[in-house]
Amino acid sequence: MVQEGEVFGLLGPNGAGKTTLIKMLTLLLSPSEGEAEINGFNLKAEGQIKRSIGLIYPGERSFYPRLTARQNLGFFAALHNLSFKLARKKIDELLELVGLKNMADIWFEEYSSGMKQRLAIARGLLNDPKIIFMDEPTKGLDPLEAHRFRKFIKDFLVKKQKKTVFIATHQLDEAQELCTSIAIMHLGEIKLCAKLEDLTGTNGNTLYDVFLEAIGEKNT
Amino acid sequence: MTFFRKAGAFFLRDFISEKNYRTAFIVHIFNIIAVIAFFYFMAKLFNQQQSLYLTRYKGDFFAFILVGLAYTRFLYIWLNSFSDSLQGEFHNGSLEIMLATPTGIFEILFFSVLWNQIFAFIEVGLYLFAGAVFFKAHFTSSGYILALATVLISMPIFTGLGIIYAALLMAVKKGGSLRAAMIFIFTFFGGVYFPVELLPRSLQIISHFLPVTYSLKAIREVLINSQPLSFIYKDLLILAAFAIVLFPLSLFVFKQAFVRARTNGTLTHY
Repeated sequence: MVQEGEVFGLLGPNGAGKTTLIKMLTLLLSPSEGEAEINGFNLKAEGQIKRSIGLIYPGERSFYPRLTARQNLGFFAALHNLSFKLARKKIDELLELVGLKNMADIWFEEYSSGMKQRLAIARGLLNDPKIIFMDEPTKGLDPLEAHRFRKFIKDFLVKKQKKTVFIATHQLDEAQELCTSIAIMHLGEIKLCAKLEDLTGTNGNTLYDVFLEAIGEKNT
Repeated sequence: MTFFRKAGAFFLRDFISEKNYRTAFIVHIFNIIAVIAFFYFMAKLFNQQQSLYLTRYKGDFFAFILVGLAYTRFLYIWLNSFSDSLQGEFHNGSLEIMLATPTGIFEILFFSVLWNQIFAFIEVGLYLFAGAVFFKAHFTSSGYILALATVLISMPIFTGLGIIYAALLMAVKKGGSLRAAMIFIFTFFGGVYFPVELLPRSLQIISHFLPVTYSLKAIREVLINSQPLSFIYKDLLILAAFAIVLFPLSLFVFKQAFVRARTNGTLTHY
């Protein structure tokens, strides 16, 4: 169970099923079995769930290259049913928040990787979601941008905005820095799910040790 | 209200994108003129040896082929725009983001093609306009309204076929050869480049089952021969029957393909 207002990390090696699970929770895929609740709603309540979630993917793709940042956000705001007036206000706020206000009117294709990722964050927040799903959000970012991004999650999204963040990553240091709880997935199954402090606080175990043990690689 | 807001957002997105790829747009317009010029000179060659099969169209091969070309363009865009748009969104990575918003798959499907399909009308108009003004194709002005009516009645048919093709592509992933086969059948047996009567009788049977045949026949009759509604109403009724069957069928097939792709995990591998 993911607690409200926490950063929950989904860890696992490549091919573990992290992205598939995120796609199921964001209703992009239907589960073949099992159930889940998002924000108190069963997965069948598509409308309610979609209104309460945000999705942040690595930002290199999924925008339109010859639209400006503002135009891109305007398009996605309409998909979230935001009125024209509200969208304009929200977009200004978000561009300010992610530090892109001065570059809001240049084409997306002219953005650096870091700027693209910041725009992806702004898009993920357009509908003011309660829960934000992120899949490998720092993939492709340089260490400085990645650090800024993690700081933004911790300080702004969680501490200030009280959002719940569900993050899939295979970077253990990222999980260690951000997450309050983690689940470790391997071959499509959750092998372990606990508070991070409970896992690493005893026996001098590092997250790396816990991870290897959970995926059955401890002795290799 | 959100319906128009979303439709407008898709339209604006595609309009701005198109506007920002100016070279491609200019080349596209140039291609239209070049194709018309090519067939204009071809027609000059043919018109010197009057074909029996063209007497029904006043022996005017250029007017005959121009209607065929314009209609093929319309057909091509209509058949491909659904699958192309969905594939484009997938390759761009935006399909997943869209599907995670409160915007349904049918809204995405229909709104994504708005610009292309409206532009198809402009393009078809440009074919006929350029043909008539610069290359002196003989069309009767009274026929334009009935020609437009025929196109409008044909729209749900080709929308339906386009959606079925998009659904098939969602299921089988690769459909390039299927698309080529479909276009070939429509153009070869539907009377785009030559009158259907030129085909052997056994092959003419195929053309009776293609909506293109009726659409093109009606448009040529009104545009080239100035025939009234009473002359083409049977063709329009047949087209309406095609539309009534194909359009709802396409929505059903697409919905099934979507649910299946979402269940077996292939939705985002379009």
